[in-house]
Amino acid sequence: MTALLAAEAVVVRFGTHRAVDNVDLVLRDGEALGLVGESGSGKTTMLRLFLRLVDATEGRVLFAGKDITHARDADLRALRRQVQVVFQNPHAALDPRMSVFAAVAEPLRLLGGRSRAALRDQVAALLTDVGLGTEFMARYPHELSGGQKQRVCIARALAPQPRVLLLDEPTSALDVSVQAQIIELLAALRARHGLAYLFVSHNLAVVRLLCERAAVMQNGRIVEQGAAAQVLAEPRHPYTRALLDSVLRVPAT
Amino acid sequence: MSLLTIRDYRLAFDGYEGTTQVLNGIDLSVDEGEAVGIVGETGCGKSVLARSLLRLNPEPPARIVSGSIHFAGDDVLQMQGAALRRLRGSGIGMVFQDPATYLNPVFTIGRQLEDVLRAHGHRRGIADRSVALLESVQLRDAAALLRRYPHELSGGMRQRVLIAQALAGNPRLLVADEPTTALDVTVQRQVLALIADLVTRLRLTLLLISHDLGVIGALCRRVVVMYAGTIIEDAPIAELLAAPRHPYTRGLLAAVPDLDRPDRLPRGIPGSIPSLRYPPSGCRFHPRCPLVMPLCRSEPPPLAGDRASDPAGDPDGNDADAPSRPSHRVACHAA
Repeated sequence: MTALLAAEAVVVRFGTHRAVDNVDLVLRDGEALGLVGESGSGKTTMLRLFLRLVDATEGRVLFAGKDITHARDADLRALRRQVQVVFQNPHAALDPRMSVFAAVAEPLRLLGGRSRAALRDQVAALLTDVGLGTEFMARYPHELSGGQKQRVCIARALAPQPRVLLLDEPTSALDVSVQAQIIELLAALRARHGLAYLFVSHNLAVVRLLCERAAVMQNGRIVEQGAAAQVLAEPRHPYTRALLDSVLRVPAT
Repeated sequence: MSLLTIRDYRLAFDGYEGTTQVLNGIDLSVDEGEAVGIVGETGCGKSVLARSLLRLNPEPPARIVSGSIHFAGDDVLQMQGAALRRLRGSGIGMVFQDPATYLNPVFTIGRQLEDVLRAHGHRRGIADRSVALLESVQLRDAAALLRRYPHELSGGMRQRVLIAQALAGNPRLLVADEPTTALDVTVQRQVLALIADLVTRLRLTLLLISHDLGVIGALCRRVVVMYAGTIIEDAPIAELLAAPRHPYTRGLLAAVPDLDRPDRLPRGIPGSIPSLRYPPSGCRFHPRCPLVMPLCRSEPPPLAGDRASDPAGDPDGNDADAPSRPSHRVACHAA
């Protein structure tokens, strides 16, 4: 597996605060990498860095071996076709005035070159892919449950046929019974499309389920990384151990 | 001795588009000294129920349809004015989910504690009392903290301040509505430890509302499961986990990912939470239920119980201190 996304000695500074402090991180083609840590640890900043929504103060960001640290215009558009994102709060990530069809069709429309009928077929296929029927096309966000909205967000992210999904706490705003549905969907989609996931989460159990590798962030640094099974079962770093110890188990039966 | 007794409590919200039945016949008793958890998903009515105990749901739009709520023998639904103000804070203290929004950003911590103490009738020694309150929630440098503003405090510290406010009136019952949901896991653990300590030290009765059975398991021995405005199961937590009787409870448990069992994929419950404006007929869970029978579609199942953990054939014949009410209740035709 080759490196798809890579950060090399990256520093992101906001004023005097080093949100990301000399981080090396590699996401390989087709793998799922979990990035865990508490709020303020820098995990979301890492995700935004790979989207180029924040700029590295120092260091380099690479996509498929190409330096994208300062990519602009056409290069940036090409990057974002390959690297898509799903945000935490599906209630805020959809425009209340856009129908499901309009929301999922928008990225396709921006890519251009599709007839109206082709656009419709493609949106229908995307909705089916995320477990929503075509009857959802005419609906608006307020008519959808949280889980359905997150499915629409995932369909929209899949529209340009990306190689990477950046997932920022995609199940944290959802109830557990719905969270489980989205976990199943994300696992199935990765198997079906050979996607790579960068999965940012504070939920260690979800990371353990979905990811092969895990990296732990604290105060802008990666303090431990490795196979998810190893990092989340036999952690070496005291901070990872503290995180794991703080997870409240449903009392054993 | 029952401190809180709720009988057939029904609450509706009237809106322009019609009436929403938010709580649909709640029956619940909490004994003095008990720690009871209420678990359920978004919109099940657990927060509305918590707020009902202090009559914090604005009426209108909220409308009490029927039922009664008694706290320490007093009828909460009949209270007005001074009696209601005494109930709030002195009878029942409440801690809310998001500590950032329940503190006023433009006043110091000291001023906001003073407001609460004055509301409870204190006029002298307020500074000393404030310091003592902050120390009781294990905040260091309490005197200096009084001059700080909320934005200068971390989320965990802010939640401690809110707990201090909730305790300022020496309540007998502490209601905590998702007190740690907005906090990081390591901080969550500390705040839960603090609540556990306060409950023991001040001999509080605790009602803990959470969507997370792990949080409830950390503090409570009894758990009540709500779904779509009704209580569907009520049991000792160990028993609920070992032998859940309601299909929704079973679904909920199967949906929680378990860090220690990564081979077990969590299973979601098909469908989604029903609209409370147009709730399903009969049992409100029936459209999602794997065990649905014709009866479920027409007849709402009563919350009925037996003494599951109190075997009738106890060899010692020792039922002198058996609980006066069923220890495991479930609302399901199939259970």
